[in-house]
Amino acid sequence: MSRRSYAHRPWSDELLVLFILSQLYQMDHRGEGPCTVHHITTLPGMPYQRDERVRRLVEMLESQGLVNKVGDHPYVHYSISDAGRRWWEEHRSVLWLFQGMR
Amino acid sequence: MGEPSPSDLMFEQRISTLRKSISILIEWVVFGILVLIFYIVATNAALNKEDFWLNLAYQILGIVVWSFLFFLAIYTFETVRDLRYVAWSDYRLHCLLQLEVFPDVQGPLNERVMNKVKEIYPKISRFPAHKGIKYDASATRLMRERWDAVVDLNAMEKLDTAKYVLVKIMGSGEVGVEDLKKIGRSVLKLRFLKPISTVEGVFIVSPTGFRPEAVDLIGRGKIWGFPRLGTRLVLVNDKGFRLEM
Repeated sequence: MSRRSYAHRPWSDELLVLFILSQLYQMDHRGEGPCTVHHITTLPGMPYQRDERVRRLVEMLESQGLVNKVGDHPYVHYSISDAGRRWWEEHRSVLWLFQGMR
Repeated sequence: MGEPSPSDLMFEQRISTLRKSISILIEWVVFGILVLIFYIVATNAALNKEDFWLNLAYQILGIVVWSFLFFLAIYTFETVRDLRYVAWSDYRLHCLLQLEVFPDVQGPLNERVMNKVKEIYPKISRFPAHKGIKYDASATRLMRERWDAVVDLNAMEKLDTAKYVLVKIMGSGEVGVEDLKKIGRSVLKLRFLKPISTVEGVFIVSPTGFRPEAVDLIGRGKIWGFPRLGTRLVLVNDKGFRLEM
């Protein structure tokens, strides 16, 4: 039986989405304004630092209505929406387990 | 302060676990002393009466070995049980994200549902055509119950066992306990007909919704036939999916 190694496995979209949502929620809670994608990628604890991938995920969240988009290219800023805040508050009780998910 | 972080929540969980563990530990110590006295008295009669110290050494050795095995059994059981819970939570979170957060393609309802199922089990997408997946079919030839999709996750790996994922799209009207009991009976029948196989997941999709008592009973595992950890009740509308349980 072959052993699966975690070393070369990329971080899953799910984990990045959860991290992005939690950071946007906390920023909103602290009363900070909308932020850029690059700001999200440089936050401590972010497992993946490529802006392209994170931008794709944030735009996906925006298309789902969980994130608000402010401004136009190249001055685009994102913040969490009411729906996203509600989703996070509903499901955060189980989310401490996502540390084990890759 | 602000939002509790995942590590804070983990810490609280550990503290409450510690409190419970201490109270349980005191009970076990009292019980253990009683068992110890009983063991000494019971084994004393069977052993050689002439050498008291040899008797005592044998008794202590026996106590050490048996208590080691006893605690090993307990902690093995608890660890396996907790790992099962963690795996279930992980799986549930995976379903939650794939259904509610990630977008779905526009199209007919069954295609949308099957797309989501394929995202939850990415192995299905790698199957060749007409292998491991049946649409609008019964699980076996002997069964009358029709499923919108019957997936066999072991199709490409094992010839002798099947790992089923069953998908049922309900019609209009709220899904109640009786509907779920009827579906559960057919799942149970499948499990009896193919005892070597397992039913990994059952997706019940409703465009209208589920009665709260039905969701409650499924959550507590009180309806016969459904897999305890793999049953998903999904509400679907034009905007997207919602995981009810």
